[in-house]
Amino acid sequence: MATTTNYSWTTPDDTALVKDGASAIRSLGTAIDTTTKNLNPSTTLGDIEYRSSTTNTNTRLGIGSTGQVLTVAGGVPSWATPTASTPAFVGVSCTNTAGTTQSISTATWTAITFNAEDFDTDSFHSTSSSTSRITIPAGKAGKYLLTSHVYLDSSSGTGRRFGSFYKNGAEAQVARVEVAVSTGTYIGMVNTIILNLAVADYVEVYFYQSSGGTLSTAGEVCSFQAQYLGA
Amino acid sequence: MSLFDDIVEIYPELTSQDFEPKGSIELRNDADDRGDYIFKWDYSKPIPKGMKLGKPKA
Repeated sequence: MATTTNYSWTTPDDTALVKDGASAIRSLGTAIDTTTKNLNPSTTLGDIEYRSSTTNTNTRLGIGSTGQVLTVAGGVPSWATPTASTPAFVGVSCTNTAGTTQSISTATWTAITFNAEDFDTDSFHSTSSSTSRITIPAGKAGKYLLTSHVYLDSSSGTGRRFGSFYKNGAEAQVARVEVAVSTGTYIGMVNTIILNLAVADYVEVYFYQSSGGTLSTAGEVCSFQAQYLGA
Repeated sequence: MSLFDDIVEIYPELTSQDFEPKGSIELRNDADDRGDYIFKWDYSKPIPKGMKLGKPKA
């Protein structure tokens, strides 16, 4: 008796006498049925199959439950419930205590200081020394989202007002913003940027005003924040 | 009197525009108790006597 190439189903030889055709067809049909079922063992809505270690035999994998995802365990597919995890926040928010002000001379780029913190996960900032700086600690090099808010008094509507981020004492690229001024209107300057920072790099907020005299910040509504985005 | 005022008193032709970004002079204060200082001086006339480029030593 001959056999088929892929599934070895038994068929009559070309020279065989067809004296028992019904039996031969029945045997072939049974073999086809068995093979088909081995390849498609699904029984239930949502079933999927994957190849098993047995030739021409697939394994049925029943549908998972709502929210599960297809994964691999022990070298075969399986459904699993994703592990819920909230990444730990890494960053700092610098502020000032109530009543704090900082004088800014006219036409002078001045670092804004911060003597308080809302939070500081990794000692990025000190409230007692170099208080204008956020410094990258060991193990935390990478991309940082920086945001700042500088609030300045309304005594002058003269000149221009700029704000910018400085990295290691030099203005960061594409970091400068300017707002229009008018007498009687406080200046609230918001700035944001993403910078790539290495360990020991420090960043600061600098402000410039050209009113012709000294202006003061309303320190308690000034802020400087850094959020670690990743390496 | 601020450092700006001192400089403009000596060079009255200077205006605040000369101290703005891309101006010929840049003054800075790093908020480290060392005061205002001249960070950049590209003006055609020399730095006034008694003043110098760079941050004063602590």
